[in-house]
Amino acid sequence: MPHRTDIESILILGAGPIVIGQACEFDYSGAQACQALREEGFRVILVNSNPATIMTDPAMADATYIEPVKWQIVEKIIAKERPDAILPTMGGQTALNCALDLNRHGILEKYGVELIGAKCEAIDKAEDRELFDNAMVAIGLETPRHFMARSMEDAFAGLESIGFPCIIRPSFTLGGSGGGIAYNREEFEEICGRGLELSPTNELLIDESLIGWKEYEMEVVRDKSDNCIIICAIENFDAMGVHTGDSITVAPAQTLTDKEYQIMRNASIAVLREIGVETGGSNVQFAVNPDNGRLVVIEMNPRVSRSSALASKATGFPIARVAAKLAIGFTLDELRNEITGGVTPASFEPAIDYVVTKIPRFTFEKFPEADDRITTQMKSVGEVMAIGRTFQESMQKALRGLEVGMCGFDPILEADLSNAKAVLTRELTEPGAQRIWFVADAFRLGWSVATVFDLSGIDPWFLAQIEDLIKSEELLQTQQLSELDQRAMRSLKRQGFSDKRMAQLLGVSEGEVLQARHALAVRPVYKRVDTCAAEFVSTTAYMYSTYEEECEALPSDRDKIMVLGGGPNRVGQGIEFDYCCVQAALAMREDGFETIMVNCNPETVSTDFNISDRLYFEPLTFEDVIEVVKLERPVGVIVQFGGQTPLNLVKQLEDAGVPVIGTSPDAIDRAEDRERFQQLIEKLDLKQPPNCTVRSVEEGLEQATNIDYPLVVRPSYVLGGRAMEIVYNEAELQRYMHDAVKVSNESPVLLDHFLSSAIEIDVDVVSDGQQVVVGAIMQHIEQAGIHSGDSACSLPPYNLTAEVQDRIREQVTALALELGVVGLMNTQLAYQDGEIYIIEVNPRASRTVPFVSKCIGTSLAKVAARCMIGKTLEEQGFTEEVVPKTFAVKEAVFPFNKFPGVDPILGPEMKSTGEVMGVGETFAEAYAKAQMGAGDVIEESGTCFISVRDRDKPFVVEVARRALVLGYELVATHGTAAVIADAGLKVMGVNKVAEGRPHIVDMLKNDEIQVVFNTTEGKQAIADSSTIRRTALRHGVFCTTTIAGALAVCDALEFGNNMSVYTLQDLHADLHL
Amino acid sequence: MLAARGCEITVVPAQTPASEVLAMQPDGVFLSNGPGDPEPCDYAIAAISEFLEVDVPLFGICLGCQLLALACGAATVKMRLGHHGANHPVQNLADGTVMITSQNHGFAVDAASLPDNLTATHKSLFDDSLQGIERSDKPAFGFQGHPEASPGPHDVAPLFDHFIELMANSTSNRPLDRKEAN
Repeated sequence: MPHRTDIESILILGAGPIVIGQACEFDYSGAQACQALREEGFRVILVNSNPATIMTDPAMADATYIEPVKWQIVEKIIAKERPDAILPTMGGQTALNCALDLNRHGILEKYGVELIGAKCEAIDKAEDRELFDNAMVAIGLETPRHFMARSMEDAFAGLESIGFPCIIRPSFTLGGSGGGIAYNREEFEEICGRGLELSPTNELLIDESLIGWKEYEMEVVRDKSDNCIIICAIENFDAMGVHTGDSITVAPAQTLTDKEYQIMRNASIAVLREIGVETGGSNVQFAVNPDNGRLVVIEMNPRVSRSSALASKATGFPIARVAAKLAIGFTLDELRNEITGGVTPASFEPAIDYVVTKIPRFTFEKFPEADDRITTQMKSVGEVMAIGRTFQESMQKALRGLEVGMCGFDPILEADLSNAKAVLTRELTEPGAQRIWFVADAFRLGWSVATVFDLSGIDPWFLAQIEDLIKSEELLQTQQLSELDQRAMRSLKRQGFSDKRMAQLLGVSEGEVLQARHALAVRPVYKRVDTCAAEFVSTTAYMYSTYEEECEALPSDRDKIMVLGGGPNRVGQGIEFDYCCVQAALAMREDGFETIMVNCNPETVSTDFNISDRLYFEPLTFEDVIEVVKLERPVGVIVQFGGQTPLNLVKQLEDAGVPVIGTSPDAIDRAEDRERFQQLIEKLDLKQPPNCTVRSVEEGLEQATNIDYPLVVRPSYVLGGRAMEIVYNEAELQRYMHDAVKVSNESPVLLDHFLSSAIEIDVDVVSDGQQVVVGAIMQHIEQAGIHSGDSACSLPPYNLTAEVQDRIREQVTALALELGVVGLMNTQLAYQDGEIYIIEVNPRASRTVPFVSKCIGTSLAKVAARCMIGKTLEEQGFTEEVVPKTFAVKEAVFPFNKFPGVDPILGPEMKSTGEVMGVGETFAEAYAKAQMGAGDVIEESGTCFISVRDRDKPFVVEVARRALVLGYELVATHGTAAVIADAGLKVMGVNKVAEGRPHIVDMLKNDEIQVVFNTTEGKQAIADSSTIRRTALRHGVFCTTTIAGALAVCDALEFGNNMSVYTLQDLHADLHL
Repeated sequence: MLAARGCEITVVPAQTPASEVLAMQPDGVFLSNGPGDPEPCDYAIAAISEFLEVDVPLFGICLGCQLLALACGAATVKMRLGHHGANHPVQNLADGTVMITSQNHGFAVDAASLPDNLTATHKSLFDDSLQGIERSDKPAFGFQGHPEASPGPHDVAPLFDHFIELMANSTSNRPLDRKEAN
């Protein structure tokens, strides 16, 4: 039976900005859904506020709305587009929640729109704890035992049925704060007492503890005829107690017998049937008690998920694509798997003849105040996946692909540590981001598998594998490189050891190992991810390396362009770079090249099978990349789109004779090396803030007086402003150079004079080496000092004169030409007191490229890629800057709510995980939408608290006046209040925390404050005021930490809620009128 | 699978004559799996033909299914690519449902050769080859894959229920001493 014909247009809900727990995997699923539905002839309407996504490329849908995924906005889109159906299962929890909201507010009924993929009843049944429990009981499955308690008596009464340990969670507290695990009555009483107090509803949810149980996920697909297949079984390496998103996971499941697996298989199918997911993909999570085999269902997601993206990449089965087809009425038997060129039917359960390992990537270094233990609340920001023939190989490939400075099981426990036992015991029992390496260290110290299992709960099978690797390492340490014969070398490579790790153990260089390995003719072969374990011949061009005999890669003799991807997502390098890689690959394919993608991030669109002609799922290390290059012999390798990851390899690649195309590595160095950059600026007669590079504390203190405080200080060569700070005096500088970074000859520190009241500007340009075209000039809303990735920005600038903009154009053009940029270049500038300063030049794709491309209707990354293969801008017909008539605002989205205790203040260190875009006729409309898309709710009445640093006092009166006009009452700290009162405005003074009670934090806790405008500077003042911002965050009070942000918020509030919705297609058509 | 459904089972060697089997008065005869080419097994084909004549319920899997087909007058062919795996989708032709099955065979019943009284009940979604047959006039059916396999999914296990049902129907007229299924 073909697909449904009673519907013609479908609205797809996107996932919005990238946040912890909801990342670019939903771009991957959404993009697949768009393609799957459009090729069947449906009109696809898309809403997603995230401009960095491939799915919001105008070619992906018939009507693309980069608008907040909120029911109020989606209603406007429905009213305008009148879709027949909504597909809510591709955009994570955001989309499901939006669908439920639309239903609750009667929008679906009002406009006669049907939900496809998942019905409201199924979503409710899966998400509501009680309904889910009942459903599981109905099919004879167990869920974890639990109960609700509203008093201490309740709690003790319920304890009988659950026993210790148990997990206590107060209801409705931010990030589940105030909960805990009780192992005895004393702890139980304490945690329950505290929890009852903290919970606004005085309720506790008390669960039996499953800590230490084995954890599994089953990816299931079901069609309307009740055909069910299992795509993949994923086993968590980390036992229960660690969120599955933060767990190392392995596919297929390694430690189950077939009998156990079949029980789980039958159970997961039964769950889908009972919950009523009729068409699409779902995942079902199970826990198994290792002592007695008791199986409980933890949860199910009636939609595609992070795990289904992983399962798709792990198996070669495109779950989102198939789920979209099933949602429009196809059945599994009618579909083929496109990845294998249609050789296998969609109903074929993938067979895996390799092992896949996923390791999460954390960013605790960005949030030093955050609790760095990993628990049941997800904290990781990205992940790496690796494929190997064995678990050992797969795990070691993943470790080096993670890009955290490890090339395998590098030791991390300091040698000769006196309390090594205590440190290891803690790291194994209360895991942090690095537990996997501590496991290896435990084996190095001779701990047994049994001991490590007792402490960690990690299945002994996995532990034995790691122990075996450490034995191999220990043997290797006693050997010489020259002793290794072909057999020994091959055996080590089969275990997954990188050349670099072997070099460390042998005490030689990586190059020497590579040379010796090549001399022994030990080279990787490439196997295909064909879903059928080579039972049938397929044309799938999705490959991974291993050390075996037969190479299945069969490279062609076409002209090839290789694109190096960005590896795992992290703060500072995320989906924006994947967007650029995808655009580059698509452009090169359009131009007739065979395209080859190398990447190891399973969440991405770039690792989707149909983006490139050939996909190598490999870590982005020199060793792994050079082997692919030697096999494929591309005519060009593109490194400037994957962020810092491929740039870090440039020198080694060039030395190895790899044809890197685009801006030369020397030009990149000229922009990145401080001293060479300074020469460049002087040569062009441009300005930069006074600065210098220092190699010792003494030199730093001396130079600082010449440059003048305040200073921006940071270590050289970093992305995303790692360890960057602003210091206001000598004492702070001393502290920074002693504590924050270890300054030395090898790792110099950069000092820049800080332009404290400058407007910051970002400019993206593209150049063919002869001509430069400005992509866009963006004006930051927050003033200088806030990392550009964290600052909101406006395109076009909202209050920068045309004359200044022209000067900026001239300067960046001169820079690009002087550097000989071929491709993209991003420049950050500051404008203060009539002067333009060049802050930073990055001759590569920047994180604003997708945003700019959406605004100007031209894909800058595509244009840049074509420049790299020698097509001039003239030939491409892109010779003039496009300045939109409407405003677009990009706003950053932060993970503060996942890290209770972290000060949500903005600074020079980047902290945001994602971004949204708002479009409007005016700046105010665009900004208001961006805030809405970012999830910030600004109470429109009540009391506004203002406290600003001295520097901002001249501007505070305007903020106060506008806040009063908007109808707020004003409360301010005494200094700020005096300034406001002097202007004749009504304001009430309030104590700072240090000034005695009642103070501002008391007011926040009593919900007497609805908006916070708080600016501050200096380490001490920031520390003193941090409880204000943290309390505001906990109470969901809108808080902005810059004066420019406060003014923009006034703009947005004055604009109100009367927003219009715009399609990208219409906006782009207007550009060319 | 049969024992779990309450059957009392007697296993006999492949070359046992039909008369000896029938002398045991079985409620049904289960034709087991292979390996190999079914055509040379003339002894079994002859025995199955006799079973068919007396209407004793028959269930064949894999080689047993192919032998049943041969006994009914259909032909078997050697496949270009055999089926080997625990993940093969098979479609029930009556209601269109898809089941995941274990497969391990290099020969198949030729769908084009089926006589009028032998119906195709299942096909492989991989290569459309014949996966199941049933006599329209006799209580006899066969399945090419392995509903009994371990490792393997349990999707086609209900075929054993069908066999039990056929035995129950054919014995309801004959008061034989059969244990209650539990």
